[in-house]
Amino acid sequence: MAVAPMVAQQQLIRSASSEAKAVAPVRSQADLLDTPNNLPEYALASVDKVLNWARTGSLWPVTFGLACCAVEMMHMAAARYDQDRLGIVFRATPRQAEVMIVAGTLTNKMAPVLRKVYDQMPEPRWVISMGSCANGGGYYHYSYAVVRGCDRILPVDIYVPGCPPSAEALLYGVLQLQKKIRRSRTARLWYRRV
Amino acid sequence: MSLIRAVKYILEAGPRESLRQFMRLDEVKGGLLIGRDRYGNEYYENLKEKLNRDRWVVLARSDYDATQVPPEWHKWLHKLTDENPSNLPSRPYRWIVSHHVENMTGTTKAFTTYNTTRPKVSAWDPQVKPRA
Repeated sequence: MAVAPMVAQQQLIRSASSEAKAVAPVRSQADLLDTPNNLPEYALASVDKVLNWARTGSLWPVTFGLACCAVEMMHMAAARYDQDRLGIVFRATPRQAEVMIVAGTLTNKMAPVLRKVYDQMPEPRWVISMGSCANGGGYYHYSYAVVRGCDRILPVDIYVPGCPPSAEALLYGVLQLQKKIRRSRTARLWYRRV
Repeated sequence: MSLIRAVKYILEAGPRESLRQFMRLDEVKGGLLIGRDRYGNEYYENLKEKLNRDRWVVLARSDYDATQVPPEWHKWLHKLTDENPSNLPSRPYRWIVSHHVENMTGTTKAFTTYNTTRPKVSAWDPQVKPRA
């Protein structure tokens, strides 16, 4: 009953905004960032695309399995979810990795080690926080021995919720990270600085 | 999937459709088109395929995401029902959202909660000392 007038109003608003668009286009921040303003930016947008394609196609995570989440992380590597088809290969050394999957409870004792391993990773690097414990302490939030979220130690890109998140959820998180990498503007930002 | 079936499906689908399916599914599959949702995603079924691979979706957009599948088709894909969702009313209950929206994480339309509570943590503003 009350729905119909609301729809009509929305259409009115929409038509009004389309008129406003003709005068001054309303554009989101993302659109503005994505639109090239000059020739070098136009050229470097393609360079960015190639860079992002290369980076998304070979995400090598360093294994930082801390607790039960690590088991689900292993499932992502196993036959059913098969991370290899996305070019994801686990590396045992941080020096050859670009993603860190923090899987499990981060204790105070482990925190300096985590930071050290992160510091050893080459740029560009990303962090996926996996599970409630890594996101915000989770079950152990009030423990005196646990860091309340690994984002107190590292800059986290993707938070995967769950206790533990299923392998599917983690893989979805990885795909979200790929999306994020696809949006990165390395070459264009370099041009801005130069 | 055996090589003979792969060749058969590629010949059936033609080069253009095969390429599209390779981009979306990493393989070429042949089956019965069960329906299309309003976003242009196509849903197929082939009961000769392996268990749990006999229903699949070819997503319409190139920047595909699993959340682009609307809930009624998700139900069908995961075999919670055998009913074809295109035969069902699109909005059986009023509490169901009329238009399915995909995961907007990382875009300007990302969900943020409206928060009025005072922050519990007082942020620390790091001052970088000049190097000696």
